[in-house]
Amino acid sequence: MNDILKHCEGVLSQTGFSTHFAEIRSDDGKALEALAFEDATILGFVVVYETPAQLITSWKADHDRVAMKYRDALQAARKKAWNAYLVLVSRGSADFGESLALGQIEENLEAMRKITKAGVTGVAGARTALLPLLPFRAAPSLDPINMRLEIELRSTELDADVVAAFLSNAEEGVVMQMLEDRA
Amino acid sequence: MKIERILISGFRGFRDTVDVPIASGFTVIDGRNGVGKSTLFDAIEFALTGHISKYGETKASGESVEDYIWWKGEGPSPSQRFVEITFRDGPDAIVLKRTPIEDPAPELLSRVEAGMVNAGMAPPSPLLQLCAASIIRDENIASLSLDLSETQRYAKLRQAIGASDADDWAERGNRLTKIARKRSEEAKTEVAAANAAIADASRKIDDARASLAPETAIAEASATMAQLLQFGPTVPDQLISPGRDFVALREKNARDLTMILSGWEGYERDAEALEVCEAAIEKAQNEIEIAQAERALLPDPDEGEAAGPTADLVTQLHELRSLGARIGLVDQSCPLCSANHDATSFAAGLAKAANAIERMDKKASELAAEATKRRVAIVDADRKIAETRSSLASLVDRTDRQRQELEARRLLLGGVGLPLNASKAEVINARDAVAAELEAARHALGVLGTLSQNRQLENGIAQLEEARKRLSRAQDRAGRARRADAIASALYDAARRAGSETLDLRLERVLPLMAELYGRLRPHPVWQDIEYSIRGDLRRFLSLQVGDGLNPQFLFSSGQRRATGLAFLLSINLSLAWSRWRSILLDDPVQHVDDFRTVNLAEVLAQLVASGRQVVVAVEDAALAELLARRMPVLGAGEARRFTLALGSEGSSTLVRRSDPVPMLAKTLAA
Repeated sequence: MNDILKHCEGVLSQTGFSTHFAEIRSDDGKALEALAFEDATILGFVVVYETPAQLITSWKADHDRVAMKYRDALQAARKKAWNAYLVLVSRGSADFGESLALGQIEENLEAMRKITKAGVTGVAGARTALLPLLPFRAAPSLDPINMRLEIELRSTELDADVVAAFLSNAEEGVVMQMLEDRA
Repeated sequence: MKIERILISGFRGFRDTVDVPIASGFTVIDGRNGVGKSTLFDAIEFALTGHISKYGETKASGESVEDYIWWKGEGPSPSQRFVEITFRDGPDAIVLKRTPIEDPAPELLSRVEAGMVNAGMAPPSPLLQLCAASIIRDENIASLSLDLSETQRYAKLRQAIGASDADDWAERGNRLTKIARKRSEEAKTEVAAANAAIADASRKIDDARASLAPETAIAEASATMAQLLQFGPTVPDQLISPGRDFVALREKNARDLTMILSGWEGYERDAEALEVCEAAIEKAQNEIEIAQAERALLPDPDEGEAAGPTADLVTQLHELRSLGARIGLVDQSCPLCSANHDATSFAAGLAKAANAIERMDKKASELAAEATKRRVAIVDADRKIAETRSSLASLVDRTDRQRQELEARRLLLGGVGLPLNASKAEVINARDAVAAELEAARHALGVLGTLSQNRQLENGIAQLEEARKRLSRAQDRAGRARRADAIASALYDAARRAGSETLDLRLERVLPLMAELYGRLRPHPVWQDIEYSIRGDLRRFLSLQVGDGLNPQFLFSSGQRRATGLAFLLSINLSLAWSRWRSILLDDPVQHVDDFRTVNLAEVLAQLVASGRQVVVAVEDAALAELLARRMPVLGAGEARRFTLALGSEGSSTLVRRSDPVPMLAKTLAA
């Protein structure tokens, strides 16, 4: 089993997709390993290549093989079939020309939606490749800041009463008097 | 909090009442240009803020958008004019309604704000800020993101995620620092003034000490002055004032004596001349009396003439005799006296008459000469009297002046204590004595005057002591002010660092979201990653770079820039730490964006909906709306809606189609 597919399976499973591996054989007997995934809105397949060049050369034929394999399911999916994805990833990194070619594959909106990514290794690579399908991972949860506490933490060298007076709602003239008294 | 319903009537292009229920998850609205898609977003902003911000402050021909808030189209007037937005906050629904004459009740707006904003974190005017960050309009996508300057971009992000009260604390610290600095400067000025006072007092002391006479000299001067004043033993201080009077008196005496001596010869002459003049006056008076007596004795010039013949009588007699002679005897009778005469007696009579007339003429001449002589004598006597009187008057004047001069000298002599008959030598002696006393008094007074220098010295010492105390107080105050300044600066610095460091921490957490959204929207086929970085110290910049340090602001096409801008604006919205409003409203976000990147946007929006956000999108193209509707996650009824807007027969915007997406088949791929 391809390790990248395993990583992709792990990532997709964690985010609520149902997944299964599939082996699609061609007429000449060659096997194509793929990962099928689906949730309430979308469905799709992940296919892995060693190099971008292989991906660029083979993606069309592999697309057709996958489509043929899942023809009945796609027809049954009806509107959901509009949200069918083919994720094409390569372990090797792409040069500039290959990046352009991968971009052109993605911009081909015929049939399934294509996602391409080169240089995919490990779980992080799998997550990057599947990014459009995954929930936001970087949305920060920013808690309120207790600025009084932050200022206290940054003024420990000062008299605590003075800092407390500064952080109080006292008039500035009163605070100033206290600063001079304590000075 | 989410939007539940938009109900409008007579607002912008909607004349009739239109009710648009908004799905809790995803709502897509399509329609051609001018059918009112943007108006639905305007209505939300207008209900929340009372304004439509996209037009800014633009005015034309004296009009602004305020003049076009309510229906201005052709045809019949709307039956009602209002905007009514229903917000849902859990079980609570809040309805904000605005009409041309009525705003929502303040408590309703407060409830909406409380539902949308985390209290304590929100910036000023949070609803305005929320609308700016949550309503993403086509015309602003680039201008409010990629086209901003780096500092404006930083400020926008900072406003979204910043610790809102950090600036307040920093400003408080800054004000305290300014007050402390001002007080420190005032204390410095006071120190300088105290030092100047010390220098001044020290100078006075030096001057007083330099002028101070020795005690022996003071004692001698006191004795001298007491002797001159004819005082008994007296305290030196009490000799100064009478000593000054003494000197003044002696100065006057000296001046008087000098004056007496300078006029001495004249006085002598006047004294001698006065006796002569007085004798001459007496003599003149006697002479006048004698002359007047003699004048009185002179006979009257007219007295003799009145008793004797006058020249006129003689002439008349002569003419009468001549007339008788010329007439001759008339009938043997004298024509003059009618006496009988013969020629001889007549001639004898004429001759006799002629002799008598001759004698009378002689007598008349003698009487006239006597009268003339008497008149001359009277004139001479009168002239002599007048001359003597004149001389007397002159003598009197002279003696009066001499008497005055002598009286003046008498007074001067009396003033200096000399008798009237003092000799010149006595006067000279007196003058010399006065001059000696004056010199001695002046010297003594000068020495005694140094006693006041002694007092000045004491005053100077007291002033110096006071100035030193003042300096001590001022130095203490300055020291306190400097230390207070240092503490205030430290507080200011702490507040600034607290603000900037917490902000930087937040930025570090937000930047990956920006990068992720860029990665999801993939504006460029090659540069699939973007690097956001914050730099600068005083002025902060938010820089965007792709590839090897390239700036997408100047590199990307219009559509790519718009996609990049969407990534930025969506990141801002998702980063609003203080917002509890879960709605994102996108007004035609895909103009100039190609199909591929529109699909990317649909995927991003789908993830937003899946994460619990409410997304409302308006687009022109129905097919695009269909694409978006298909891509959204729909798990239940009411989670997604799709509307089509169009213009009605009378030009008013209206809803012409509603087709709510339904949940898809859950499981289609068999294992």
